[in-house]
Amino acid sequence: MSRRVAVTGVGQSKQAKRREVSIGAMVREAVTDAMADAELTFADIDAVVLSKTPDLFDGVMNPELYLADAMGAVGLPVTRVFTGGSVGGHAAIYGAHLVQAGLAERVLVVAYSKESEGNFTWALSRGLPFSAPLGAGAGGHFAPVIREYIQRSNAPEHIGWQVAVNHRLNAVRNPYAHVHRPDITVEEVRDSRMLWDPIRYLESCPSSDGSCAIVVTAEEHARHTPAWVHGMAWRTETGHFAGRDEVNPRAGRECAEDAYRQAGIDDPAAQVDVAELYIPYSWYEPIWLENIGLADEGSGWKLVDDGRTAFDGDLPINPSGGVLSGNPTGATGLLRFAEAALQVRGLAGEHQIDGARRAIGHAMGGASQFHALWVVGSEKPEAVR
Amino acid sequence: MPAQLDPYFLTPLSPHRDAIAGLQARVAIEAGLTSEQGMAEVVARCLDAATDNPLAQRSGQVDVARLLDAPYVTSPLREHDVAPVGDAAAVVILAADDVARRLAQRPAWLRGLDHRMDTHYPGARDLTTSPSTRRAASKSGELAGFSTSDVDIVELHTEYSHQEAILANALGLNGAAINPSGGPLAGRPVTATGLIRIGEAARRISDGSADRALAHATSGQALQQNLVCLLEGDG
Repeated sequence: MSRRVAVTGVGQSKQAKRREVSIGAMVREAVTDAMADAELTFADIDAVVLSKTPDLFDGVMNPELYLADAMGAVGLPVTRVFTGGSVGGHAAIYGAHLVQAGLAERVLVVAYSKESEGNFTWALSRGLPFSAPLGAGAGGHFAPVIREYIQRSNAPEHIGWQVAVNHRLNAVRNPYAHVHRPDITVEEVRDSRMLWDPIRYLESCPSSDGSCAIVVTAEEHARHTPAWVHGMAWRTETGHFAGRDEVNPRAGRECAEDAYRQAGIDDPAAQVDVAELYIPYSWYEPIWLENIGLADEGSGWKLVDDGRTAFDGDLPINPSGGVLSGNPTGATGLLRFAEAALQVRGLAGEHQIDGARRAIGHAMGGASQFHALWVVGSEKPEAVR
Repeated sequence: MPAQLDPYFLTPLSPHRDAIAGLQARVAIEAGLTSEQGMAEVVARCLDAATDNPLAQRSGQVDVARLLDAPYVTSPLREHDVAPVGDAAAVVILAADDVARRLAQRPAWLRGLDHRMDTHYPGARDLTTSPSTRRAASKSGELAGFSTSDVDIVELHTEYSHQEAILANALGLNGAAINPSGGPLAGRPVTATGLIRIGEAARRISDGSADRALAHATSGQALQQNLVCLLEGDG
């Protein structure tokens, strides 16, 4: 890293079906809160980055044009980032790169999706010749990958149910989460409708409206309980290659390794206090734990089974409730990165993990092709790497 | 109909694809920036220049008077005033210092680049000016150490013929050759059009026909978002 970079402001909207607000108004909610948190006005911002999933999801093409005014971006450089579900993570890193490269001092990173105004599963189900016309959406793609993980790792069936319960119980502590089910039980998840074998209804993310915004600044402007970026990386791999291992994608592995190297981390499970991971289906908790080196290959599910990833475990995953409790896809990745920042700033409210000093924000997109990860900390990184 | 408009207040008006550009052309003419004759002359010049560009979608010697006989698409725009949409791809390779010198005899050095956004709402803008272009020009000039008026050639992302006059004003052009490749009025592969401008400007540096070049790219209705890139050759 050539310059130290910090997150000094975070804002987010309530995740829900938000038919009472326009897209612009919903985006503005997060922008206003992030700017207030950072104690900045629009005149202080040098550049704006917008994160959004495919335009087909809610039908506005090149939404950075329509949202220029809502984002306070008139007169500024605006860049729209676009990498599927991971897009919010990529946008945060792109904003941090602008600061690191000396092209900006303070960058506003904005993300949203308003899925109630479109049809997500239709937009995701590409026609022939790419896939059979099943309208199976994202779950149809990920189910066989999950089945393969279960086969390889011999994980018992209840792991997926337990993850679903953990995340939903965490979400009760987060007023912004879409899904609040304080009474959820493993039995209830087990008995819920099968959607895409082995994914059951309660093991799936909802389709949400929501927005998120963060302010990223250079070291000299980081005055307000900053979250310092210790390491960040993104990696991409092809979606169509017979030799690729989608259960443990190489791009995800190398992305995490690069970020840990920058952060000086050699034993991530021991050196990280909390992680916000992109887990849209419950089984992706053990899958990502292994992929990003928080667990050995084949043993991610044991961390779940031993309760270590629950709120009071030693490696809590998604204390915010995660993607399983709210999934405005364009904002979901940025929410993970922002939640990690809130944890190390000590500002996560009811879902604050005591003493969190170092946290991971993680995002995945496409058919597990796009990976982004950052490690943030409460302390200024020692060396500029 | 442009789907990149405010989905609540503008999209329901279902404007014709070229309607907002037509409004812009009308106010540009009323402000004395151009005329229907002037716009047709821009098109004739671009199509003529494109005869030297084997990659152009459209080219040829055309008669301005005959162009003016054509019917309107959205008045005052005629079919030739609208850049023809087509298919194409573009690739540009960026390289640092020593690598660039190793790879190219005469690299086109990226001296300054900036991009800016205007408000989305056409009704809230003075469509005869392009403040975002002006701002990007000034910032990129600051980075480059030379001004946008001090270049030999420019490649402008003109989706409509009348926009050349608006952009030339905002950039303060001073005798530079405009769109020697023929520009978008000779071929507009929508999202590749901006990168092609940078590639064409770089090509003029590399082949020695220019020492300083400017490439411009735009996005949105009536020039809402604009990018200015200043290139220079040495030796």
